[in-house]
Amino acid sequence: MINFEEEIKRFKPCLEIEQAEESIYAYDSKDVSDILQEMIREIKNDDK
Amino acid sequence: MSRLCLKCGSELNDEYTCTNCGLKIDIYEKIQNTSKLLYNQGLQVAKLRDLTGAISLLKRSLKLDKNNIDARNLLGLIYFEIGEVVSALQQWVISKNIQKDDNIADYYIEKIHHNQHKLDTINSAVKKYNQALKYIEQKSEDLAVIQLKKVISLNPNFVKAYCLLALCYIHDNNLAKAKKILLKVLSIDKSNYVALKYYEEITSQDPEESKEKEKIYAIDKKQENYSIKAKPKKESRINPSVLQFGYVIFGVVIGLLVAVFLIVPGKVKSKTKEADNLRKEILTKENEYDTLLDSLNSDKEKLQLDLDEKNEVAKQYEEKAANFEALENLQSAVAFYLDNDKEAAANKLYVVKSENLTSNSKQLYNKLRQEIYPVMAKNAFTEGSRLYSRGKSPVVEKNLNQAVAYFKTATKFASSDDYFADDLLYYEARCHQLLGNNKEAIDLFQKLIDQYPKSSFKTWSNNYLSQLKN
Repeated sequence: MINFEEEIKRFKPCLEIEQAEESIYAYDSKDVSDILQEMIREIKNDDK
Repeated sequence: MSRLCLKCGSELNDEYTCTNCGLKIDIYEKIQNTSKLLYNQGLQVAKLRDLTGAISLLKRSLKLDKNNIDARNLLGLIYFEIGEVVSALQQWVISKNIQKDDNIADYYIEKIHHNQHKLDTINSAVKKYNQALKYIEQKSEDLAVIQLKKVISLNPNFVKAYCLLALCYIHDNNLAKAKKILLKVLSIDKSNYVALKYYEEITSQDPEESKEKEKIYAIDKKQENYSIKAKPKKESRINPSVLQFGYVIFGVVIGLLVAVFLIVPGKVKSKTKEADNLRKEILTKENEYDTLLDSLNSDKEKLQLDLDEKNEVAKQYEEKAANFEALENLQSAVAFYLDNDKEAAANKLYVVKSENLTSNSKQLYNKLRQEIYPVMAKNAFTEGSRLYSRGKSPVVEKNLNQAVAYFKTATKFASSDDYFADDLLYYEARCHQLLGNNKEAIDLFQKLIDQYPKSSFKTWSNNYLSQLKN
């Protein structure tokens, strides 16, 4: 049976046009190669 | 293999590792290829309208390679398709930022910005959707439903709004409407998780649907059992010519099957598409109808308010006209009184509706009435009595008729306290009796007996009443 109260929690407000710019700046665009680079950098720093 | 790093453009060493960022170029290429593979899969499922699946694949593709422009642009396009324009713009703007030239995102952004009206409409739909969520928070689901219907009319592809509307309908136990809405969602996005979940829940509650499902399962099971039970026949010796004939028949059957499998799916597909289009058209028309109904209802309310206002003004005018008329009659009565024409003054005074007079005018009215009415009543009674005496024996109809007219005038202006009030009733009744107007006579005798039980005419009245009734 669908629980209305529980289901309604899944619906979040949508972004409005006025918030578009803010959301673009806040967007996390990190990919796997960025994470790999960070890891390599950390390993190199540890070696030093 | 290139001697430059594909990620940062620095020199590679002999092991094909970037001297700057330290990435191995073959690993980076594998990551890029996997990202492209995921994009291709995303594109394929998007073509089949599995938009939720496509979004998931494209997001994974971008997690592997954020510079995969095709994946990002397609993700934006899918967001746009499900009505989430801000998310679409977000992807296209980032895409344009990564690759400035020869990027289709430029065209999409331009297309949206070019049509400011459309952009405003879509933004208004988003605001209304957020407002609907607030209404639900405040337990005003009915207002939320109205708001969501408007959202859908503004942005007919807004999947989230459809899902929320369906949830409201389910909560309201309006399963037929919920089902229709969910079918619309599934026509936009085949594998929308929320819509599928709600749809499954609704159909499991519907006994007819469940029966149909059971039938389908039963048929499937039967076929399965049949296919399991079917065992290959043992080989037997066959004549070669019969075998050749058999091959020909087999070829024809294969040909037919190919035709059926190639042609029929095409036809089925086109019919399905037609049905989808019709369903879409019906939903659009329904939405248009709902919007029209809302606007007509609001117009009706406005017109009703307008009408109420106008009626109020008309009532005020009517009141003023009645006040004016009463005052005018009173003025005429005063004028007649001053001219010493008491009869005309009395008649004018009689038609004045005192409730429409102001307190000052009412005072004048009462004073004039007290002055004129008793005189008028007494004069008319005296004259009527005189004519009655003349006309009763022998009966002279003319005199009696004139007497009745005087008695009526006297009744008009007399008060029940006047000393001749019972006499008035008696004589008028007698006139009617002598004229043969028995009904009027009976009524008046009865009135006298009821209203003046101590009257000296009571015994006479009873006698005449008995005579008349017999």
